[in-house]
Amino acid sequence: MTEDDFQKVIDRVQIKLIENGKSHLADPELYIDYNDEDDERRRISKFVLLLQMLKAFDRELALENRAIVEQSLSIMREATYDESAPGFVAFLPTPFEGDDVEFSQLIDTAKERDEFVDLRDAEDRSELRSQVQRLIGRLAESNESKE
Amino acid sequence: MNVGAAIAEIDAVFDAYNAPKHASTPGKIYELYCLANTVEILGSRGFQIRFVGTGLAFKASGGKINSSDPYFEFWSPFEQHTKFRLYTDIQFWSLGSQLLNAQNVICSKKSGLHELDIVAVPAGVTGFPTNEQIALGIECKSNGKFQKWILKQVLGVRREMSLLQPMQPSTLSVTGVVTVPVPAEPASEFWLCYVDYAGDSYAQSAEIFGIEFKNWEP
Repeated sequence: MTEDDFQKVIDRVQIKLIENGKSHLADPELYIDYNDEDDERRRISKFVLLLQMLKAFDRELALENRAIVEQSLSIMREATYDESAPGFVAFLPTPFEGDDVEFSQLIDTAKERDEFVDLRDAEDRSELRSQVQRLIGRLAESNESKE
Repeated sequence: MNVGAAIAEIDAVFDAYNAPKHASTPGKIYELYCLANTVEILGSRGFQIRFVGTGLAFKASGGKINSSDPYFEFWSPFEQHTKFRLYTDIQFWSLGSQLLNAQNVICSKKSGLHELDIVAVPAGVTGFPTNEQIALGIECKSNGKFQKWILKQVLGVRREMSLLQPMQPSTLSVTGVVTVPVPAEPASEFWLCYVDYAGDSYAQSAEIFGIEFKNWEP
């Protein structure tokens, strides 16, 4: 693919990132780098920019993956002398009023309000991550064959 | 692969993607992952560790330590009377606020409280810990692309944790565990954990102030 072709693909990735709440990864200015030899700012090639955008997306996918939650709990069990680990791991997205709410009350109230996000209910992103990584591989092959 | 095929694959990837209901959820999963890695590292340094509580709940914003909060407790087998506890999403009173206190000036919460994603404090500390009570502070950055603002933010937090001093053993360097030198007084350790390996290239200057860079990518 030519630089123009890669730009067309970048345009599509940018649109999709923005549509899916990932606008913080869509700005090409983020990916400007410094040249190690002369320390000058340099714009990277379209091909490298595309790969970096997709890799940044993949890194964030990894953090939406249920497997990481289970892996973390497993690490905790192995590291504690009595194999103790949290029985649940949750995110409470709404701040509670007052600083002195008992932990059990905090949990009960969050559940009553339907504001208890069980992190173990996160999506399984394994297949999607494989798909992104395969795409990165194929794009790399396209660039190699061009060279 | 031609441009048409590439665009078709991009579309297929994003068609299969549904964003998390809460935008902060991935950041909290990363905090959990960093907490697990922290527990593992403390174990490898020689500490004994246990979890106390029913479960963990990450909050939308930082607050104080309540006595009912769950925690990981850790101690050296050779110094069992000195125990530390790990908590998540905690605000602490800054160095500046403590200097004002010494002049009998009360610092506002907006100005004097800063949040850390993970803290280690001596067992028994409740409320908003002071900078002197922080043995270890950790910032977890889940951004897929590391940016300069992250560096600026942690430099500011480090400034409010301790003063730059000649190297000395950290507060966590108790008898029987690995000694970690820090250029700080109080002798707190401070870790910046991040997903994007590009963060490594921002480390050099900030490490002078005792900020330890850790590229933890699941």
